[in-house]
Amino acid sequence: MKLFFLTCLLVCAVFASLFFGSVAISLKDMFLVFTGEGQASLSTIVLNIRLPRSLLAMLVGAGVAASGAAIQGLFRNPLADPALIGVSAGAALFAALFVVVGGGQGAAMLGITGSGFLGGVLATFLVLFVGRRGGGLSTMLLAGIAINAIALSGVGLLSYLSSDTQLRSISFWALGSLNGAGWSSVSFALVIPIAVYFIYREAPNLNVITLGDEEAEYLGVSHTKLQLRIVLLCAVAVGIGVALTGVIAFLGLVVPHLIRMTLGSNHQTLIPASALLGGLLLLMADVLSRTLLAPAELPVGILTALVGGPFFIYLILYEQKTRLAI
Amino acid sequence: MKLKLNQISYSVKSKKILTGVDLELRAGQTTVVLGPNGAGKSSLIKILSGYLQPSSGEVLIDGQAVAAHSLAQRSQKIAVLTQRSSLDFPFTAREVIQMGRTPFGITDDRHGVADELLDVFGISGGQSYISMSGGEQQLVQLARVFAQIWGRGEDVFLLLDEPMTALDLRHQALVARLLEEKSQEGTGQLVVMHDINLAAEIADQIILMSSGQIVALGSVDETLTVDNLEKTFNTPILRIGEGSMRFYRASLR
Repeated sequence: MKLFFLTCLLVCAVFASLFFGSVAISLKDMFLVFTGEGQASLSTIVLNIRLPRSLLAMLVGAGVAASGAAIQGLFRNPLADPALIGVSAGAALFAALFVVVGGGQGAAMLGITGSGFLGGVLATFLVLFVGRRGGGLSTMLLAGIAINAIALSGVGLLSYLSSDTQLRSISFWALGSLNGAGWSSVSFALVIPIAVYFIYREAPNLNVITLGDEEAEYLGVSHTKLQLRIVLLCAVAVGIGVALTGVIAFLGLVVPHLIRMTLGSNHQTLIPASALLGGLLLLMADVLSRTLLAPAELPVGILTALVGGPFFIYLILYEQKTRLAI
Repeated sequence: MKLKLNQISYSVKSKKILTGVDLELRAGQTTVVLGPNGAGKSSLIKILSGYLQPSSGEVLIDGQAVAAHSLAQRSQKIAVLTQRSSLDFPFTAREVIQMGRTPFGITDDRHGVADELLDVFGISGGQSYISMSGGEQQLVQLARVFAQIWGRGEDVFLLLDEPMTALDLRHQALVARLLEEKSQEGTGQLVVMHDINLAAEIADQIILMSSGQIVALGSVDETLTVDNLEKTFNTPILRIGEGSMRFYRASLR
């Protein structure tokens, strides 16, 4: 029932988001656009600019938040974030490399999106490799922190070496933005719901892994195999999102936390609910980002961090108070 | 079903945890393991369940090497209670108990089994696990482990590492009665505990362990002697009473 409510809310939000932007569109004009009888300029704005942008926000938000829920379950830590597996930092490094160094025909074919995705996946593999050599989740966590630091220092170095124009590109990418989203981005992002579906299929196993690695084995769940599947699925779900929009901060951390506090910890509810709420929140943040300073646009990553950060502090304090009251 | 250990030794780096352990567990038999801290009791459970590989020797399930059984097959035959679970998410008690049915997939019976066990253990299903006391959490974990073998009679084994920890007397008696009931249904059981007197009540077979070795193995009368207990725990032991009314405790002097 709650999932149905969230789904309805998300569908309504996608529709409502089409009205927001530098050009005001009335309900009647919107109706005409969807019946194919609207003005050509309005149809272009709604169908080729706003609709793909809203759909992309929904898909990327869903991927980041569902991955956050899975990573928190896997690491048995409600403060874990998809960035821990290195995917965001790796993507940022390769995107910066593409902007500053380029790299000939191959890199040009990949573009900034392809380079970002490649970087995210490579960094995740590196975290997995080091983590599995060390033999435990804590090693993977530490490897994630180290590889994040290395990749971000690489971004820093490239920013230092870059020209003013290149620096602006790197900064905008690192701040996250849905500006420039089109149907090609949406078609690329359609891989995200597939990855989220496969993450959802792991929900019973994620429930069991929260008991501990040893307990999971006694219940027939291999923690090493589950680790591999979840990390790779999250690398795809988050990697594509980061590659298309840049780094979206805090969503993967806050959304699952919020769902866990209201709907409980069962991953069979937590993962789809996080996906729906993540999509909804990124969509709302994007609407705000393009209307707050219109006609200028605020990078959406700034908004998610600006709102998500203080809200997260509130959540931590609220949870602490609840626990102390028990 | 039968579980057998043949000449099991287990070492971590140069430290010997278990040395030359021979043991046979049968369907419907309750075996209690007693011994001081660090005697190797928990490692014994981990090796019996196939979680740890012994340094030497073999573990057999119904005559077949434990490695011949997949993780999924083992989880349908052997349920294990560990000493400590790391669960720190607000699952409800019912959800935790339902996790015990994971080896059998998402089937409708998990709801029925969970409801039955909530009733047996007197737990409120909607209560948040992390808001429970240590004893209540232990009951939920026990109910989860029982859910794994519920209704499966002699095809399964229960390996419980200190199940009575943090339980009050009423719940200790409840768990002891449940173990007896499952034993009559044919479930084989190995229980690690520290209460010698409760062990004497529920055990068909007792193992006294010290420094990774079996000091004594046999019936309650054969094994629970002052001499064996002093050798095992390396402390003076007092016996109070005689025959079926005898009790043991460590001398405080």
